[in-house]
Amino acid sequence: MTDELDETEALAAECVLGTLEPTARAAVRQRLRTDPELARLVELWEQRLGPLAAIVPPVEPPPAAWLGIVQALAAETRSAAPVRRVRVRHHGPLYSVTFWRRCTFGAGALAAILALYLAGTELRRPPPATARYVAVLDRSAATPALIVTVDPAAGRATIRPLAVKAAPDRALELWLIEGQGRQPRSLGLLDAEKETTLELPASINEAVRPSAAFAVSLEPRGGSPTGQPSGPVICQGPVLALGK
Amino acid sequence: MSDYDEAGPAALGDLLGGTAAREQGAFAKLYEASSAKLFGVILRILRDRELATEVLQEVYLRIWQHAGDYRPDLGAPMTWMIAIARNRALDRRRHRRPELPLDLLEELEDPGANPADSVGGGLPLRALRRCLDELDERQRQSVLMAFAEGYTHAELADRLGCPLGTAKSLIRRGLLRLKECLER
Repeated sequence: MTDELDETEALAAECVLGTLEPTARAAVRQRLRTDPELARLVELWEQRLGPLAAIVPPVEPPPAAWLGIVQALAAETRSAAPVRRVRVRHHGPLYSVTFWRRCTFGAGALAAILALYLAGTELRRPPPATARYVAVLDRSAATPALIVTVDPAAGRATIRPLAVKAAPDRALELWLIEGQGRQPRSLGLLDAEKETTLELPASINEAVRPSAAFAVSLEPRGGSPTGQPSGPVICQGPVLALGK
Repeated sequence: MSDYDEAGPAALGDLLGGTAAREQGAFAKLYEASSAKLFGVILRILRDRELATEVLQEVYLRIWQHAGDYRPDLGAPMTWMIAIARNRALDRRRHRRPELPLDLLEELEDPGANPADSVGGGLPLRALRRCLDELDERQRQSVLMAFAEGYTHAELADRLGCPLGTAKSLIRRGLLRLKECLER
């Protein structure tokens, strides 16, 4: 039996326990890269102390956490695919070829993983009689901005904002894009702060299917004056079928 | 709670293996089986839901990228994932968190308070609990507060009302005794 831990081992143990002050901790974490003995000691202490986590009660994370992970993975898949930026005439971002590729790449992965997640949670409730559609709209890689869920039986879209902002004098307008060469169609204006429910005209309701996508543009208050997106697209995402 | 909690380390190991093989289904199930535990651990240290959610996402992206690095000799799959989660949370920890109410501490001092939880992902708690019992009261308190709540040396000293050096040596002696006990 010794009186004290030797200095290296004490640092390893304290690093795992978490008591080191930020600077000391950063120094140990840095040293780990080049000091295999320290790394081995840290691994041993992680095994010794790890089981203590059993005393910390589990807490269900918010659903948005998983959506963010899925989005980041889809982005990883997309960026792994060659994307050539080709702008088709002067029609703005909704017509850019890149946009459509972005919608296509990763959609499969996203659908699979999202469906699994929903199967594990939401669908434990009695399944709705008809198919539903969902789209996770993102700005860039890892942050989902909002989620659009469409219940075609009810002819209704529900939009849940997760991380989206609009200046006070601007409006958020939701568009359905059916495919290249088709004009985007407005579903209506969104509230950045709370869930919005939009009644869908039959022609739009029928057009929501997995080959389509949703996008949100920033418009003057009251919506686009032209009936077509006039401001920048702040987020977008492909329509995914949820099955039964 | 999902079925995988009861399935323990073998099932989690399979899911980690599937994740390493880039099976999205395995990864989704791994998340379902482990995310509440990891989120609990992260949230307890950071005490900020938004930040904890962000860290949880980083942790699972890291698990997705590094699942292939997991080896059984690194401990149970849950132990390995918890190490990743705690490391991230501790790296993002801010200072001066709100003071803990005492009953939380009491709950922590009794690892048997939630028996169902001690199975969570097959964490081998029994030996550790026996060894915690061998520590003196202040050592045990300090180790548990540091591990679960992310207290630094200075915060522990504050909390215990003792000088920084005293808190440090208290922790080091506690850790040494834990190690000796676990190796017996």
